[in-house]
Amino acid sequence: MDDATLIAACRRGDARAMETLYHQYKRRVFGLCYRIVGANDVEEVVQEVFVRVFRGLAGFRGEAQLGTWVYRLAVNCSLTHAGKQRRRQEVGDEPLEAMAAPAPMMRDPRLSHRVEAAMAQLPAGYRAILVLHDVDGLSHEECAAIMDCRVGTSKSQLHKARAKMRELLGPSLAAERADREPA
Amino acid sequence: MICRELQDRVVAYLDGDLDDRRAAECRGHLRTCDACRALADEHARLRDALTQLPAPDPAPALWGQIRARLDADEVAASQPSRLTRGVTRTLGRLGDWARPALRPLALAGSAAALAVLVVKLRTPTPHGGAVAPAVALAPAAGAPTATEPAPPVVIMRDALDERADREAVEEARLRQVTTELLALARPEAATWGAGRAARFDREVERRERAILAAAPGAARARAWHDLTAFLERTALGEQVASAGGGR
Repeated sequence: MDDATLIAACRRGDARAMETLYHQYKRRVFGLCYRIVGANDVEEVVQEVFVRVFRGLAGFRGEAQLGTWVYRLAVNCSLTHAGKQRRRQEVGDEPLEAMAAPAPMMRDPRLSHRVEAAMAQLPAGYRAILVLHDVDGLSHEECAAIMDCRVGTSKSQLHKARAKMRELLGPSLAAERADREPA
Repeated sequence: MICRELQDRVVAYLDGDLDDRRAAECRGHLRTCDACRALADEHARLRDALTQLPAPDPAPALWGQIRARLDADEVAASQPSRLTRGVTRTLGRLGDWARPALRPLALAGSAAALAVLVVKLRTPTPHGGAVAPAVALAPAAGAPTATEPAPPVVIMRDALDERADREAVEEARLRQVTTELLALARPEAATWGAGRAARFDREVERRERAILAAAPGAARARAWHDLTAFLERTALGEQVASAGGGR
């Protein structure tokens, strides 16, 4: 089913079409939100994203790709939520454990675990560009469309985010390199 | 190329975002600089690790939760607000004798209810067990239809949002509103003519606008007090003439 057909069916309230749209985007939206807001709040934010998607389809004019529009909603919801998290943390009315970083997923304990932990320490905007560009493999043009910024801004944000990640992971990365180099 | 330039371009170089000339400059520098080569190697490792991060899966139940929320939204959108239902129900209970006279009150009902609630809000009320009847009664034939909640509702609800268990508070408010509206309406309803009721509406609206325009704090409190005092005067039987005068 192409996007136009899917959108038209969703607008009519076709339950199967709505579920199809959800399954089409759920993993990327969930992964994006997960890495921006963390495991504790991800389901709440993803719910909000899809509710906005289905409510907003009536006004979706197709000026952007459907996927771009969905991801833009996901980024906006996640960044808004992350901002609220930060404010709650600043005023101290949220327990520290509730502010925990995304739980690292143990696939490669040597590095991926530490990469996840380092990402959780970045500002939310850096996390967003890293997920969109590096994890999801989107181009800078696509990232810029989703984040509603210039391509140059997307590139510079990525550069800063990677530099910050390297700063956080520096010793680990250096150790990995030393392990691989011949004695 | 110097090391600083390489550091500025290493991410773009590794991602293939540089033009041929600049990419060649980077390659040339990396062949001769161990420190920058180490830096580029670390960035490459980092990028590879990021691209290989696994995608977490949402719980299977998540779609059901989203669907339920969408369904609930549709149901809510198809029904009048609880405040509106409460006003309608209250007026319906008054009986046929009162309905014509109370039509104007329906328009002002939300504001009057809010005014009463201001007082209630200032005095903390116990929430436990304060649940209004869950059955939504259909409006009685001929009963007036209340308008959508006036802008101050937003103010009130924002205040309530800061308190625990908003749903229970809202239900408690509705019951209180209903009781207070009965007390407000009965004595005056039979005596109101259409012109007086219209002046009453205008006065309520003017005070609502004053509340919205007032700065938070003492000024807004005075504006609220003005509205509540006006409604109390009306409820006590003082003439609404002061509401209209020569306006």
